[in-house]
Amino acid sequence: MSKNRKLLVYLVALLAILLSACGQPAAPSAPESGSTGQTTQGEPIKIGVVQPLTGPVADSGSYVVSGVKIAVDRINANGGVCGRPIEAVVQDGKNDPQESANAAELLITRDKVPVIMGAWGSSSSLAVMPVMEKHKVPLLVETSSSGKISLPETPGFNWTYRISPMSQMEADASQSYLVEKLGMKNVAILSVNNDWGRGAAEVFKKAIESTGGKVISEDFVEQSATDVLPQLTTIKNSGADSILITTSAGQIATMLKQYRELGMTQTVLTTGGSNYPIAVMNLSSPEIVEGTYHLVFYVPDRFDLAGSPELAEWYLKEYQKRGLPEVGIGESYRGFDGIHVIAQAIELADCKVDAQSINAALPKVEFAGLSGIVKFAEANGHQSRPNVYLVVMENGKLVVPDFQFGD
Amino acid sequence: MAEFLQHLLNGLMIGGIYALMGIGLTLIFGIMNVVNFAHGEFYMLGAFGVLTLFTFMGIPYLVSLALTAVLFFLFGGIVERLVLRPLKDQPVDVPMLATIGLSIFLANLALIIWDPTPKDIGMPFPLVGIQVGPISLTPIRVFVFIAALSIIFGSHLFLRYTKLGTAIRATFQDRNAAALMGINTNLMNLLTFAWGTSLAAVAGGLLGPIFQVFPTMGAVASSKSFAVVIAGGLGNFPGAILAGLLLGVAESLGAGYISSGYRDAIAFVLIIVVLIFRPTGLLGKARRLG
Repeated sequence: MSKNRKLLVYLVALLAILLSACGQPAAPSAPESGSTGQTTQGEPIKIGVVQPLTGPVADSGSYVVSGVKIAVDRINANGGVCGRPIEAVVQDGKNDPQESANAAELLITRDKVPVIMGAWGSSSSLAVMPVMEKHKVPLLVETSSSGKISLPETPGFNWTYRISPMSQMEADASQSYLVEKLGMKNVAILSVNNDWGRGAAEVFKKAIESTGGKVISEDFVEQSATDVLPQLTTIKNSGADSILITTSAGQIATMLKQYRELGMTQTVLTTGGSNYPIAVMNLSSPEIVEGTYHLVFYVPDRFDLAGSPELAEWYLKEYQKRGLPEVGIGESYRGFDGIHVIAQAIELADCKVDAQSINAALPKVEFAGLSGIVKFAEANGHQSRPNVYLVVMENGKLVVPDFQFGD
Repeated sequence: MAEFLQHLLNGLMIGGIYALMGIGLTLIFGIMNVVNFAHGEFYMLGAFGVLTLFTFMGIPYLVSLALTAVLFFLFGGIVERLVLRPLKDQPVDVPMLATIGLSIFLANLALIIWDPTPKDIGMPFPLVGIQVGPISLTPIRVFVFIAALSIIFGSHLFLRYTKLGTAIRATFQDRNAAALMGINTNLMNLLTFAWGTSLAAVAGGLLGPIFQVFPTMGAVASSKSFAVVIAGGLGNFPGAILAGLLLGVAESLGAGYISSGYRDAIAFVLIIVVLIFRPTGLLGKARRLG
């Protein structure tokens, strides 16, 4: 019995070494992996998750967590990681920097998790990063877009890996059609007032200006703000032909409602990845979102756009089978991809479930997921470049216009 | 000019709701000497009430609003009887802590019942509406403003010209003397709290269709109400109305012309300025009610 398990551990370790393809010297790992296998066999591997479960963006956090759950069940159904089941320990960070840092601290000290996925918003992730550095535990960032997270001088950078695109990548991907195809020549920027919103405003401003457009105003509103009529009134009278919005789906819905109230006709483009248009529509109505553009990283029913079409098809079916809300799928995929990346890193770490080994293994991960292929090829091996798509809402349906794929 | 007028109008419409929130809070403070930290949660629950009645059950909007008002009047009465009455003779901070506890309890209760996802009430009136020259108005905003002002004016008339209103004002002026005159001051407390709760709930129900409804929406509403009440003078009814409208307009103009990032700071700057120059509130010369 014990011999069989030991054999299994060796086999998986061997497989991991083969997969990582002449990564690190294998010799010292063998006895170690044997001993960890004996002491913790059958016991689940804990993965910490920090997401907002209360507060203004609690819905987004709960969607990510539903993706986490699907990933955990899928991995465990397929034999777990290194023969051990995995378990996600979810802690509420409220998308508040202080609360998120506390949540990470708690997961590391109380639950002894060797790795954490989190913490949704950029400001929250940036607050968690120093905690990770202090405890020497790796962080996988699944949602945040701020460029700061991938700067080597940011505290905790060496322990942080990101699968969501930074705002710069969204700007890079959309630069070719913003001005030319969408006609965004005089742009009013309306962003949430935090690292994410400010970072996006900065890079999109550059992208627009470098392609012949002009940014004529920049407004930043609080995450909890519900009345944007003043800002929209000013924009309406400013001669802007388009509005670039970066904030969460809930706030986008509010903004679009008030945009329609004022009878505005400016082109609307939303960015940031928490802007899943179906979610925006459910929070308002099909008439309100009609004709608005959105940059997204995952289109649920376009399997051909995913990193792995088979997985994307399976995921959509599984998601629907579980009766989860349709509004959530556009954010849930992050949790799904994130947990798979962590699971693969643990296998690549020769099944050593300690923070140091997982941190060393994360840059070697290559995972074909729902939003392109996760591979930490940028920012010194700490940043992946996922897919970015432009979608437009037509008659309550999400449409992927062809012009973005170039000539 | 057109832009300025639009800002002014936007501000007045939001200001009407601030005033409505403010008079509820100021009444409760004035009569009961209770600082009600659960006021924002009553506002949130009122919005959920309308969501449940109008959106989920299909009852017409105006009827839903009226039902919400009645239900929360009863709810407020129950809360007063069960939570605040037993603490009546305690120092002022004891009932205050009780309302803080109540606010946390109610916010989390809503989280359990309706989950944290923001909800859309849907529009009871057509969305795109009246274009008056360069100014855009939507029927819902006009309705909200008129409803808020009517309720405020109605409350004023009630306090001033009815026997019950007189009894409430008497209790406000001198609780012991009122009791000696045969006024049941416990009943006055109960009615005032129920009334204030109902006003907050109606404010939530009015703003619900314009914004979204979610369990944590009460926190911002609460802080705005406090700004209004402090700027208007604690327990000062006309002061709360003036401060409410002023806050709405100041926020709208501030966000439109200065910086939208500091929008929520404007409320607190207003408090500080008022406290420096008029420490008893905008209209805070004498304590009066009605």
